[in-house]
Amino acid sequence: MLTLAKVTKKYGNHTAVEDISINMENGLYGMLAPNGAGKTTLIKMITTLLLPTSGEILYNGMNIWEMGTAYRDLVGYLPQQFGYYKNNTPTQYLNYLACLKKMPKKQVAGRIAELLELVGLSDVAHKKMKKFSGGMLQRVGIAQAMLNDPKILILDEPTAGLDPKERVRFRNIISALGKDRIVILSTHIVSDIESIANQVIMIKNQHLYQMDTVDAICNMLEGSIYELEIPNEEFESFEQEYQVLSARQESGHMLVRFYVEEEEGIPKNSVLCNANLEDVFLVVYQ
Amino acid sequence: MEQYKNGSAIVYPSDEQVNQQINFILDKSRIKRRNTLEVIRAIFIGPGLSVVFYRFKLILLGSFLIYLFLAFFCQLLASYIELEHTEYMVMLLFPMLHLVFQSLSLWSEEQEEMVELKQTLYYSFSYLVGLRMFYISIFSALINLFAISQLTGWQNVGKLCAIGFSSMFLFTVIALVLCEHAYGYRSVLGLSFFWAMLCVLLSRYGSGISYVLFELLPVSVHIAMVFVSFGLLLYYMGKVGKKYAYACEGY
Repeated sequence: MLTLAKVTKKYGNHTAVEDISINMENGLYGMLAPNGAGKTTLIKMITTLLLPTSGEILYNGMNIWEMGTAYRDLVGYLPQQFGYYKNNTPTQYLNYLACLKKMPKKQVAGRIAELLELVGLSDVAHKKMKKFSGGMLQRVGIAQAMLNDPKILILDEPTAGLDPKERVRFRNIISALGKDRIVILSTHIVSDIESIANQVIMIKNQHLYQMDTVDAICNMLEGSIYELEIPNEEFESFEQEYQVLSARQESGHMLVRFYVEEEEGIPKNSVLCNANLEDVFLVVYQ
Repeated sequence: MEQYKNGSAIVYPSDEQVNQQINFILDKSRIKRRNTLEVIRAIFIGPGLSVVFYRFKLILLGSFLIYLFLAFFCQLLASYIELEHTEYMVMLLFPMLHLVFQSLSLWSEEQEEMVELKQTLYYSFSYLVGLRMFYISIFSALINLFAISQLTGWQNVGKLCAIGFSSMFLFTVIALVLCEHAYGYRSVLGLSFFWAMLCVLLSRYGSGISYVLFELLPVSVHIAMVFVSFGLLLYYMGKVGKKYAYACEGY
């Protein structure tokens, strides 16, 4: 179990995160928040890149800083800015990182083959990475994070810049990994986690806002999300009166999806809808 | 909508986890007999030199060429301004191969965005930088010893090399401290520039210091400084190695 106990991080007068307390067991956790909310700061503290200003991070009750290299053996990390050597093949690159992770030499070759198979890069195992697409590079990133079969796998904005097809492929790879380890996926792209996360962690104003299943979080907005068809010319005034979540142009009118906090003031002919995670994201982080 | 969750309740560990933690604390406090060679190997060799210097062969060659150019330039400058104390040139140049290599290698690592990823690994980025500094300083010492002997003859090697070695090893420690707390090629470049300016200024205006350093102090003091600064380098390398590569193994 990974426990964050009242974790705070301050940079001088600026507070990045404050009083975050979370328990995580095996499963996939989606850390959802807009840019600048503190996701990467939290992740850097979990990966020991940053020291908390106050509070503790514990793995099975032991402070991760006191565990030293024993903790690093348990962690696999894919940073937001993933670095690689352009003139290396994936095999060479993973071999190098396996040495830095102090993996036994006998296990390395087999493990690399297994991981390249898992991420669908066996065919290009000996091709230089400078010829790889963004999606392929991110898959090499997952492979390196999984080299030491970590108990805690941390992925920081792994799908940024990927096309929808690659994002789906990535999602499929990740969803299988949460069965016997803690997987923390930090993102501001709701669709990355909506279908695969066991729990969603939402951070707002440097504090923990919510941590629950996707369904429970969506239920927070039950009875508050509506759709309505309005004439195009009424859209501007409608936008000023209600919180519009999305608007789609259809023949001669706009189909708007909007949030209403109270039952009073709901426009006529509005259709009540089930809230999804994107609605929650837009309402909470308006 | 403003309903902040008051954080999860902090869960008490299970009996199994408590026992695991007790065993961990007991294990850490137990005095372990360690083979000295094992300890030295773990801290000062780590993943092996081929991994430590992975993809740095060209940078090493480039650094050596830049160093030769700097040495030639300094020699020209010294003869042009009729430098009285050639020892300042030695002090300035001795750490330069080391500093140029570190600046270029750190810059290369930053360009390839490998720093953050490597810092989370078992053999962390800081530890690898420390090992590189350690081996390059020894390599640099041998190169400079040979160069001095060729330029001034073996009879003058003693004092000049002692001055050069002690400045270089002290320098490595300072650069290692800088890298551990602010890893970046800019801090090493800044240090190089500061050192070069200091040596130039002292050579022009530091006649008192020159007298003490180069004429008053006997060679034995300079040789003692070499051992002290090398010992400091070994100590600090051990500290970095303990922190980043050997922390949990009962050293």
